[in-house]
Amino acid sequence: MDCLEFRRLLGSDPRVSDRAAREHLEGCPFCADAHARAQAFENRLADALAVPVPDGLAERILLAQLTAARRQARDRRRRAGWIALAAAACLVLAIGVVRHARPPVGLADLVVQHVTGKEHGALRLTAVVPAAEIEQAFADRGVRLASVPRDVSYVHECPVGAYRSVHMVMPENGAPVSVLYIVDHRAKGAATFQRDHLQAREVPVANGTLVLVAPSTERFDAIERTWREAIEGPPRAVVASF
Amino acid sequence: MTDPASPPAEARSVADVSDRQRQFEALVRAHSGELYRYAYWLCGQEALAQDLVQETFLRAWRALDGLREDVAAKAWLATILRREHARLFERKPMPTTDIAELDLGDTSPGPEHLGEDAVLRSAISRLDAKYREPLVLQVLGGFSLAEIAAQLGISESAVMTQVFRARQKLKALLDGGGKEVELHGLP
Repeated sequence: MDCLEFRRLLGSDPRVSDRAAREHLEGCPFCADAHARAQAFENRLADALAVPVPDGLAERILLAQLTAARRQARDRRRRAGWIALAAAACLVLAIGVVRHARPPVGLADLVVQHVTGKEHGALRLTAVVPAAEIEQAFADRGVRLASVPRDVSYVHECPVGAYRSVHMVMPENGAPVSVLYIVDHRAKGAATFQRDHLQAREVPVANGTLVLVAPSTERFDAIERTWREAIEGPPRAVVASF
Repeated sequence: MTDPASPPAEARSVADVSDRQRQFEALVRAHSGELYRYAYWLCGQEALAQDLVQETFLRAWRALDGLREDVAAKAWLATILRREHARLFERKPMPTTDIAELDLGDTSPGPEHLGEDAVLRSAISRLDAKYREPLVLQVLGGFSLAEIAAQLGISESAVMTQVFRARQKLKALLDGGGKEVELHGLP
């Protein structure tokens, strides 16, 4: 390295970290003098650049950081709370939509679905079922009949949804009425309803519910009375008159 | 089955947070002063420099997990600070000149003989940013030419030119003349 190269380097890197430059420096008194002047200038430059640092700067930065960290943590908690709330609201809304789209299936609907579905063929039967079979079907469901109505062409222990029933058909004059006694659910009160072309009535009887389904309600009163007496026994007023 | 020798997860989590906080505090205490001076010479305003340093450390806190080596911390922080400053002022790219084009004739006396720190500071503040910034990084930060080049995203020879010219211009300003003087002239 020659003096020109050394002076170029001295102007841009006064620490002279280059090995060749340091070797030149050791052997050249003129460049050594320039280097000493450069070092003095560098020291003064460093002093001038070292402007006073404001008191408490580090503490203020740490305080700002702690405050920001706490705010972030609080915001995260709030965000998580809002997300949980939104999720809950979405869930409630979804349940509401599902329920709205699928109205609750009540006993009446279940019975109508049952008698018009796979049990529809029972309506065509006309031969009278022996009274013993009817008694046995009720007995299997835990119900002891006081009397056994006649004119029953079909009897079967059918599940209707989650309910247990005795399903019968009363075919008088070619206008069969489906009669179901639900043994494990007592309706709160009598009700009538219509599904498509069918009329229906449900009434609480003893500990269960009697449901009648037919195209017409014409025979409902008589059949209700018949089965009420069969399940609950004769009306008290009648007994008292004897 | 858990290892009886290892602390429970909650305790580890608390310990991690504590370690992170301690690392951050060490960074602040080690580098805030130096970073403030760098910020001051970037923007020339004490209050703004403090804001820049504070924002730099807040960003550093958020990205602290990305800092792998303590030795790189100073350069890392300086980079964050430069970006913060750039966000504020949207600086334009700096033109550069190769050092070989510079006139290296001799002889004026060195500025080290001319006045007090205040005079020199005034002269530094009057330098263009493109000369002042690499000079500050070199003298104040102790960065090598290669490190400064990496920080500023320019070539090493461009950095050499800028710091050379920065010193040359300082001498001219301290001499009270508009013409650039020659540094460390040949005998």
